[in-house]
Amino acid sequence: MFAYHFRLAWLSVKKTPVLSSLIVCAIGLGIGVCISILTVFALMTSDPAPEISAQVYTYKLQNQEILPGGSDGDEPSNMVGYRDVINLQAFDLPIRQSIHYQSAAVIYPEGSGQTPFTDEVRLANAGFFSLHRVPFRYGGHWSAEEEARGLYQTVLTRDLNEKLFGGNNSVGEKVRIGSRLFDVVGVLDEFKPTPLYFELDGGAFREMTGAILPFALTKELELRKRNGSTICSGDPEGEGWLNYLEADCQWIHHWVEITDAQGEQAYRDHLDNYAEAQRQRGRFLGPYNNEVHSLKSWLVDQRVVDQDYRILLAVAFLFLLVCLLNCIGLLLAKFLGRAGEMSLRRAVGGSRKMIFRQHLVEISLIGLLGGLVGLLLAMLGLVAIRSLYQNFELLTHLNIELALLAVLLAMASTVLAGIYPAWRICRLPIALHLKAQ
Amino acid sequence: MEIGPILRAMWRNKIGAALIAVQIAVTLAVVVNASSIINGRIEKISRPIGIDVDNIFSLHTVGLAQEFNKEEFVRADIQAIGNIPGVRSVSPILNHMQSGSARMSSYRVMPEVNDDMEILANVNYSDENALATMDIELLAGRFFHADEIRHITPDFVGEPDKVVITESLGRKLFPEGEIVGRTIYYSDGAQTITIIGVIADVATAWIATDRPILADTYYDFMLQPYVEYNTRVSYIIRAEEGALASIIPEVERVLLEREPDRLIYSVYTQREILARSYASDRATVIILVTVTILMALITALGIVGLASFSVSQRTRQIGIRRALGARKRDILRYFFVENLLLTTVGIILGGVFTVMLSYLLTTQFGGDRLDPVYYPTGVIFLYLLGLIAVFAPARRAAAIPAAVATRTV
Repeated sequence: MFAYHFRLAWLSVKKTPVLSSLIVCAIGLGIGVCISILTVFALMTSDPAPEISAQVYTYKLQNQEILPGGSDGDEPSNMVGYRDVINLQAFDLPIRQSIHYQSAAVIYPEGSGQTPFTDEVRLANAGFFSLHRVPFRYGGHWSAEEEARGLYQTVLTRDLNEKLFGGNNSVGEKVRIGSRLFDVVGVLDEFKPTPLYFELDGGAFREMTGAILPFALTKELELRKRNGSTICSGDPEGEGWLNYLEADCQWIHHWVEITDAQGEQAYRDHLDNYAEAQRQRGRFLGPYNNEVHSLKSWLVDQRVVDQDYRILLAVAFLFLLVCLLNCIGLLLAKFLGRAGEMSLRRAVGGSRKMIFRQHLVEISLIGLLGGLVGLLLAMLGLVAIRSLYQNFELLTHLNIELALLAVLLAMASTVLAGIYPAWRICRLPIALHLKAQ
Repeated sequence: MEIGPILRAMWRNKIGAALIAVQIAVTLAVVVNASSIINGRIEKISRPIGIDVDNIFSLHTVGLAQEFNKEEFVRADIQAIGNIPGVRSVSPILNHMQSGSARMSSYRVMPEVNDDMEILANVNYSDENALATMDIELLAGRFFHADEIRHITPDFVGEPDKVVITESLGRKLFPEGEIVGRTIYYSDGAQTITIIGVIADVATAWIATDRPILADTYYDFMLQPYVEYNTRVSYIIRAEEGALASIIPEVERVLLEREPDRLIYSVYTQREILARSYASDRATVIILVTVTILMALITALGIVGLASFSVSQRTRQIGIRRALGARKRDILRYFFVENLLLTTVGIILGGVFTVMLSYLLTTQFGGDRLDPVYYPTGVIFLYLLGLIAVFAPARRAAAIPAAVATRTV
């Protein structure tokens, strides 16, 4: 029976090619616009680390004196100073702690003919790799003990390993970064948390590149933070890097993994106690209001999703609505155009149910075609969106789920739009139409 | 007029007509709100920048030799670039202008620490030629002299004793009286900073941001007489009119010739930097324009569809009217009036939708407030759209010969 309905549906689509393709195009356009914008939106709002998002936290060590005009609704610093992070990490509630910041340095390829280039460099402790579940292609990361010994080790991102070693296993090789030589101990596999939740101040939708160096070398390497923000509330005591590290400047990212049920509250107490102890020593003079954020609340707090994108999404859905209203009109015209034929079918014994079913099959077929057209348009739309924005490469890839959603949404909405026209055609006064022939 | 019969005819196909009216209403709501947003963004993007954006480019460079004198490196570079024909002026700079990377500091007019009195400013470092390099007008006081420019390292601590600020920043600090010669304070207030000159407004590094803390700080810009070779040094270069494209490779060549052991990167014209800073706003405009136009087209298509359908349904009626003496333009008028009525219903409904959408956008999505002037424009647009869309089917209807009516009787 279905095959029969389907064959008739196909015949009907072919019989009114202009009207049918108009309907398919209207659906396709609506779906295309909707899905391309929805894709970007879905990736913007996606959980960058589903495995750990329920148990990793960061915080704002809020010292009111630090922020000029901090009262007018702007977020205080999400980062922490060198001195504070060293003190705060001495706490054994978190099962893992990640301490890191981004910088940049000149990297010198070994082979001849290759010119040096500047690339990102991150200083990160051993916990960075384990907490963020950073995947390795070759080797692994340094241990806390190796880091404490101050070894000159590095982990390369996949991108840098590709540039320097053509993607081969480079563990054991040496790389000159800045003025020093580092032993490669590991190479990352593909690692693209989107958004880059642990380092939002450099831009939420970037890919990590360059090399990762042990955080314990911060004092020696004298690498200032780059591609991100540093907030200082006062001048250092004197010139030089060590004075800078002691100053009230905040630039380091600190994430903790806590599996304990009351962990969030316990960590907040830890921060409050620390702030109170600092106050007694003459720092942190203002009132403090420390915040602990889970990964999810952090992304909301930092307004990772561009407000414009919410507006565009709303407009895209209204566009789909207009397309569907249009389809109802076009389907009505298409179906009523063969009122005579349907009346005849009814007259020779076709039931209303049968005719309704016939039309539903036809509508689904149109919806499917519309969905496919929409999928194609969505891909084109994403290419266009990528070219419009800076750094949207990670956000403009249609995944399987969204592609399926596109087709399903197209079919579901077409069926929704088609129910009324199909119902109308079943209710026709057949005698009138037969008489007119 | 035949409004009565038209209304009765529409009532017979009320669903079809209602569908079109709702489409018109939604389209109106989107057109009006989108126009308001688009116009706001275009205004934002086209605010004056305050520097000669068409003839300026900037670059970063870093020396790769193990040990060298950074101060001499910069001096030699500046001299080499300055000698290139087609280069009007060159200055070192801390950050590319309007690029989003910036030093942001806050200052007070009194020495006592008081958070409520802090005024945020975008600080950039440059030398005595900065005004010529960027084409900024000096409004009052004087600019830095060559012997006041200091080469500093990133570890340097402290503020200069002389600064030059924009008029907007000056008025924010000192709403009344002379600005030149006044004193401001930084951090713990131990050091006095004198404003020696006031320049015409120059846009800050964060031109594109919508962060509340930076609202109304668009021109709060300060120049300090420093040259800083951090992990790199940057230059800003102004070309003679029309020479920009040709001197960019020339500058790179001369720099590499002077010191081959170096990297040159982030070479951008000021127009490119601005385009990058405003990329998101521009994208919003382009996407909204595209979707709005598509929506108008779809709605027009719906109007064409409905009218064509009704023409084909009423072929005989039209034939009879023609046979009874109706002229072609009576038939045309019938369809135009029908369309005007339909659009009017859509526009009334659309007024409600517009307000609803605007409310949603401003409260839920943080959009800008809707400017009501866009409503009448949107109304005119939709009337025109409807009339254009109905034209072809109406003409087809008018062309129906009276014979059609008699043939099938």
